[in-house]
Amino acid sequence: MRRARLRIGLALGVVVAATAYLMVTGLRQSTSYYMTVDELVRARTRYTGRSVRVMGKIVGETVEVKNLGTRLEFEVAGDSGARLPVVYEGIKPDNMNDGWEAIVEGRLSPDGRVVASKVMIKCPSRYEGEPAPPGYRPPGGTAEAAGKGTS
Amino acid sequence: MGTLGRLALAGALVAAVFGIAAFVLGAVRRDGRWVEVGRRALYGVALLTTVASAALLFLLVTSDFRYEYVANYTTRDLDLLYKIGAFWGGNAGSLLLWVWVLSLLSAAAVSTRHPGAGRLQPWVGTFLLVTAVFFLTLVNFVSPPFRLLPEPAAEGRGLNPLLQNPGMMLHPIYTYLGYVGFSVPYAYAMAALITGDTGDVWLRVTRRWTLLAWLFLSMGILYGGQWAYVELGWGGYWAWDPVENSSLMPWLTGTAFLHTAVVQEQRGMLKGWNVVLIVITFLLTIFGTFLTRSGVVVSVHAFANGPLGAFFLGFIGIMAVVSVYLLIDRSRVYASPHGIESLLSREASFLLNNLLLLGITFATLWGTLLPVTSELVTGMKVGVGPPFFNQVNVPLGLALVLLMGLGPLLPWRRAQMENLAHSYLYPVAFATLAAAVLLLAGVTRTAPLVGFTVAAFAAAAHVQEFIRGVQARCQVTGERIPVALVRLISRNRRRYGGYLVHLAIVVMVTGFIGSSAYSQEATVTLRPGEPFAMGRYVLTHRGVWAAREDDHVEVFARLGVSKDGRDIGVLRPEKQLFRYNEQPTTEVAVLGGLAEDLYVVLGGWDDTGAASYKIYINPLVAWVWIGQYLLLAGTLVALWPEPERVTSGRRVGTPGTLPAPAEAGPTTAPVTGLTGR
Repeated sequence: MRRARLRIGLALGVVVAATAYLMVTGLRQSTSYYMTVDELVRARTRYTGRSVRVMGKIVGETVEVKNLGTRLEFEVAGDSGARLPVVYEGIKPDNMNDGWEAIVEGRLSPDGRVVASKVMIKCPSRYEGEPAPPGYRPPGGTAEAAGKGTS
Repeated sequence: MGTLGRLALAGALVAAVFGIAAFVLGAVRRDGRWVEVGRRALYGVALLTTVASAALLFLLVTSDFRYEYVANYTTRDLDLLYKIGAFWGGNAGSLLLWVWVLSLLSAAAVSTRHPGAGRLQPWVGTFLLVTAVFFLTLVNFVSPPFRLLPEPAAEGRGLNPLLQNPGMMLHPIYTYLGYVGFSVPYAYAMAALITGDTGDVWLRVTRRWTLLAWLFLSMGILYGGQWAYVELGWGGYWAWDPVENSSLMPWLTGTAFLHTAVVQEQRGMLKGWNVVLIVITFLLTIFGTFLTRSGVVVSVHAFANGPLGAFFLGFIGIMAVVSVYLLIDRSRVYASPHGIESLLSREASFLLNNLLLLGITFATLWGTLLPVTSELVTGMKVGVGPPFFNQVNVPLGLALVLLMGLGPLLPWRRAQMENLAHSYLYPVAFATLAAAVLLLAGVTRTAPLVGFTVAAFAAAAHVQEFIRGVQARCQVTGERIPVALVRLISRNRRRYGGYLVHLAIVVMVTGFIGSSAYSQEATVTLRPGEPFAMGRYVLTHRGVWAAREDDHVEVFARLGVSKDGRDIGVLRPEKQLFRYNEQPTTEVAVLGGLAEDLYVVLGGWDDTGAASYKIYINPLVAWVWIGQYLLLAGTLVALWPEPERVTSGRRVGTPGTLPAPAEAGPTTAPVTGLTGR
């Protein structure tokens, strides 16, 4: 009985230790800093070469699609108006709209651009119920054009 | 209609509060009449939330744009299916769905009378209604679904096109049924603590509820993965995203509970631990709803920031405090007559199983909440990506699969060495053979090789269990093999249903390993007529076309595909440009088979007809979905009520003398309204 307890305790201890070890090594490998554009631009030198995850608003006029939509260059802006250029090699996300929030994951390169490995767009209020602004008109046309009649 | 809905929700809240008072009175005074009043109040809540849900559905289907919710999530010409789906497209609707499902399940739970559960019933009703009150408060005051716009909108904003996919109809419903379903076992566990009745009544009654909730949650998670795979276009089905994680965590702890519940039934052990697991599972389902429905962790799911978060955290906090207080206060009632006698026993394997499941849960929770906790502690927001989760959870998951192969062959109490050698001989031999074949076939990387070998071992162990069972039956009864197999399963539904689920997990794990370790991807730009070779495929770009549909323009490309020199079809990836949304949506094209999926995303095009593609080859993905349906089948076998038999009803606490006792506990009456789905 007592020996069994000891053995079981050891076995459970091994699992706990393994989990802890895996978590510590895992944390070392894949930690990235979450911040807003303003925070990053303020402390640019500190994060050069680091993994970052930046949130900012897409500046519509800067969005450039190259190589038939497989290379993307754009800027995200912080609340203060500070801007951060982003380069992304990959398929352009579907909803690169002006003023939408983008979350960019990647490395901050020495030239001050973020070389992104992942670009996610948060759609404003499309999944979730934020109150509609008064007098809301659906995008992509006026209400008259949109009123197609019931089908 | 909206007024009716509003009134119904207000009435439901009043009825729920009244019901709690009646149940508590009935329980404290031991007065059946008050309990009956509470029960009727609960039925009232179920009726009123049904009325409110019907009202919201009516408004959605008739496109009544005076209502904010309807205007936010639908358009006039949206498909009827998706108008209904918009019910759970936003916060207010999905919270209403939650409380509606909860009140229906609660009504089913308190309407069935179980022998010996009489004292539990009022407390069960109380805890279910407390949860209902929380959600009813939200839909009445914080996130009301029947809010009017200042002036009626001429047209709605429409449902996000990403959500316009049949999988998106299934995934939320299943996930919700799973989440909500765990409220019933939780209420029973709490009732057991309050009455000090932590014997097997609550466990027996809740086993089927738990299994059902677990099944729905499993299906919800897997349908979510399918949806992500075909709709999001990044070539995968799981990204360790906070919202995905929040649905996985209660699944893991629920799985742990399903296993240790067996130990309590068979050996009368781990009573307190089982209550702890159910409490954790319940709190994680509420927490998962909170993560999905608030903006606490940034995720690919767009979140609303609102006062919801504070309410949820408050509720979780209160329920946690109440649960922990009861657990500590009643700790004397779940002493166990037995201890574990040997590491080589089934009890010990269940303990290890629990620890691994909880280890995965803990690591997942830690990684998910790191951005929040790191900000609280250091002021810096730090997060981890998929590498962290894979680093921790893949080894633990494989250990779990290994244990899954070891456990069922272990006897209760204590194993004899020579028996063990005999039990494991064939599975080990088969796994060794599998490893050799894989090595020859070119699977040389350590991680996938170990993974596949472990999966082969677990599969062989289970197949052997089926073979042994059939052999034993054939010898005793002289039945033919197919008959013996069917009867073996139908006479021991829980056990062999469980084994089928284990096999399903093995099949899925095989899919996980193949698709994560051996996927290839390429980005190419092709002129019309230009071929591109990848793996055993040659893809030839034919050109780009546009087609005008009702409410969108479809731009599609055609790719001729040949495999090993034989033409096997044409892929047609497309982008749809919708009227009401600025963003186009990408529709991937998949050519799937049992061995691998060829998965193509259209990137862009120009006026010369050239197009760019992202091409993935994902091996063995199909096995994930095959495993899903095997899991469904296995769980249904385990759920199906067994006919009453004289041989059932082994007294709990009598040590099992058989190497593997039939796990046919006393059967409960089928829960009406839940079976026969």
